[in-house]
Amino acid sequence: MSGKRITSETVYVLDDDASVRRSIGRLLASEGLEARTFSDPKSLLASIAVQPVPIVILDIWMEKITGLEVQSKLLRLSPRTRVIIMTGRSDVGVQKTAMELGAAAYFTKPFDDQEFIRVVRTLLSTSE
Amino acid sequence: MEDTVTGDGWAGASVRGLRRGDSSEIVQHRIDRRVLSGAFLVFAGYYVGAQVGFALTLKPHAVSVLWPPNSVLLAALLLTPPRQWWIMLLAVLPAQYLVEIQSDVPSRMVFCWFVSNCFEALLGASCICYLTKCPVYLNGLRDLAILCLCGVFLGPFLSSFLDSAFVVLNHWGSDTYWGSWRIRFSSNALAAITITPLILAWAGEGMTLRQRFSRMRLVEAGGLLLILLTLGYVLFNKLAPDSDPALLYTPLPLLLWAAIRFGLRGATTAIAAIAFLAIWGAAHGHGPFSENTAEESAIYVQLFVSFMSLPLLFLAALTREREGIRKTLQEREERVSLAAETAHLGLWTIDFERGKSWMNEKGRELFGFSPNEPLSREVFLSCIHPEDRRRINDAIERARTESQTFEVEYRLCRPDGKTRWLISRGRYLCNSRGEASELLGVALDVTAQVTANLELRSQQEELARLGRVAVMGELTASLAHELNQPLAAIAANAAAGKRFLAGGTVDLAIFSELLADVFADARRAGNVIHGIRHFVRKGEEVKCSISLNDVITEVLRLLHSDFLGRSTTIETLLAPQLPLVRADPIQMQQVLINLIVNSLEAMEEISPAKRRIEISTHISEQSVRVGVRDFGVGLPSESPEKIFTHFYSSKPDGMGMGLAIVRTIVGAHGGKLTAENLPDGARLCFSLPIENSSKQPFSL
Repeated sequence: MSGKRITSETVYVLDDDASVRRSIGRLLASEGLEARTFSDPKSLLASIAVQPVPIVILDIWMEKITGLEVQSKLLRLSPRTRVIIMTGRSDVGVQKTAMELGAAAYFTKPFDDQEFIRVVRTLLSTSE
Repeated sequence: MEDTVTGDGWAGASVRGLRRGDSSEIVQHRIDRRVLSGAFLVFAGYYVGAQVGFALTLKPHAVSVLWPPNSVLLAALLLTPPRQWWIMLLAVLPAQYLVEIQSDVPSRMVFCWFVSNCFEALLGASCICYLTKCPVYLNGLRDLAILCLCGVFLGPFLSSFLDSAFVVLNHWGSDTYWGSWRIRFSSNALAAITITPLILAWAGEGMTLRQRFSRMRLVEAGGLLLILLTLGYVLFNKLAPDSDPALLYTPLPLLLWAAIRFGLRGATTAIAAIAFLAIWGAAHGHGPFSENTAEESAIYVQLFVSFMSLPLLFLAALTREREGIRKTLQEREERVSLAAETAHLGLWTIDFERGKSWMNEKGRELFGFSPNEPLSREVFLSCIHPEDRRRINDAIERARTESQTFEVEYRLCRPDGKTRWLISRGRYLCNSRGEASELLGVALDVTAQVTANLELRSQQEELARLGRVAVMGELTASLAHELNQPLAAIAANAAAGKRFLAGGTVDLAIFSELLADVFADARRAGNVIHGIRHFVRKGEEVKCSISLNDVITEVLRLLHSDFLGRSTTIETLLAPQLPLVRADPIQMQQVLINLIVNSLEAMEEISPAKRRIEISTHISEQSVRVGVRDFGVGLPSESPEKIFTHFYSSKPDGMGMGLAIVRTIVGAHGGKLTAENLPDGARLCFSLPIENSSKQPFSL
């Protein structure tokens, strides 16, 4: 990952499930987007601090720390980064909190790929 | 029991007295009347006896062969309570005077005879009452032997010394002391052997002749007596003195007939008749005993009657004893049959030595045997359900060679095609050589009980299953997450593949990885579904040897997402080499999940940083103990174990069934469930007994 070029179309993905990480990476790659995946919030936050990216995709349910906590820290480090939340469980309360914290979109797994790509493309174009 | 049998005995009178304590005056009056009528009978009997004694005197020296009065008095004493003996003795005094006054005997001599006669009867009666239970009804060989020893021998033997002394001192008659002693002893002994048993036998069983004997029996008895009297009359009055002595034995078959068919009453009556006729003949100078002097004839008659009587009396007593035993056995058998009938018990015996078998009606109905079908172990086994046959055969064989008894529960396949559940208990009886000779047993139909138990078990299983469905409902969040992760990955991979194809940029290596991931995720989702279906499936409980550590690991994997969702840390402290327990794995999972969910719920109000569950296992005596400790709000302080009761819930929307089901499951596995409050939380524990085979692992 470290050897890859960080472009304006690079997207960071945080999920503790390896298979999910890989599948989202492939989906983004099929659209010609660069995806960088993280299993651990700390390394994600460290990377953001060094090299901010326009879009981060976060899983809500992770060990030791929730996606919402990562979202707060991330936005403090890089306020212009847009956050897309993914969750395996639809929870209106969590969705509301995430939106209040400034999440740009909220997807419940499994999600529709066209809608997902459309949102990513829109966010990229607006960030430019 | 005896009171009712011996309706005429004094026991009946005294018992009636006891039962009617408040009307003792009436009872006293009744006893007095009984005693008075007894005293009158003694008076009359004594007088008549004396007259008979005089009549049976051998002339010309007036040698008495049979002297009945003393025997009448002895029988009266044996039938009267000792405290009333004096009344009987007093009744004898006027009879004695009445008898002797006609013979011009001085009153001093009369009184002396009264004393010696009373002494004889008192001596005999005292010894007999001391040695056996009074009143004496001659119910067995022992009674008869005691009567012969004390009443027939000892009483006459000792009292004759006194009597002869009185005769000599009063200068009465011309006999010498020893001559007088010999005549008195033999005549009194003969009377005691013929008259006393006659009275006792007839007094014994009350006057229920008609009830006891049918018309045919009465005709038989009458005919026998008639033949006996005719034969006796011909034999002892009409036969020439020089006839063949063998003819004297002709009454023997009739006497045996009387003893065997009519017992002691028949024997004593026949003996009395023969004795009377023999002595009568001798006294009147007829028959085989008339040829000698009076003294010699007296001795011959006495010896003849004595030796004829003794074996017959004992034979009759033996018959009566046997009859008593037979009656007792019959009563016992009736009681057992009644009990068996009431309890719907099948009873059976198989006698190996005689090759006979028996089974009561209920048993034959139960097993479907026809009334006369012979029984054997093979016949029994052929009715038993094939799956149970081997086990039953082993139990019976073990009983035959080792323990002598067995108890088995099995299914019976009846001829009508229905299956019944039975419990059988059996016992082997051994012969004198210690070999099993007979098998006794009972069989009880427990089908209703077994059906009820099975129904109860199936209800409990269904309740447990519903409990699992309910707890699954509480875990939907984590289950959704567990399923959605692989489904999301599959969907994203499929979309990516489609897009790659559409863009015309097909990289086979990427495609290969993509498809491998899709395959793995599909399997992962399948496993989650399988786990849920397995957990809530309908099915009979299956107990097997399991390690509770494995169950805990499996449950933690299943609940992983829930712990994440609820930000709860799990710590495990599992004992290494935990012994196995015998349990249903699914039900054990259910127990653990319920306990963990309870802990999770107890920590909902606690800050996420403090949410922690400690799961531990350890060995405690003969059981494995599993503890689930949380750091939540704790249990109700007064009675922590209240949480295990049905419908108890601390949550407003809770049904309160989860922990109650846990208690039922743990109880059904022979385990225990406890709950306790600890600082900052609570601990719920359950323990299950260690499986026997795992206590001492087999090693060489």
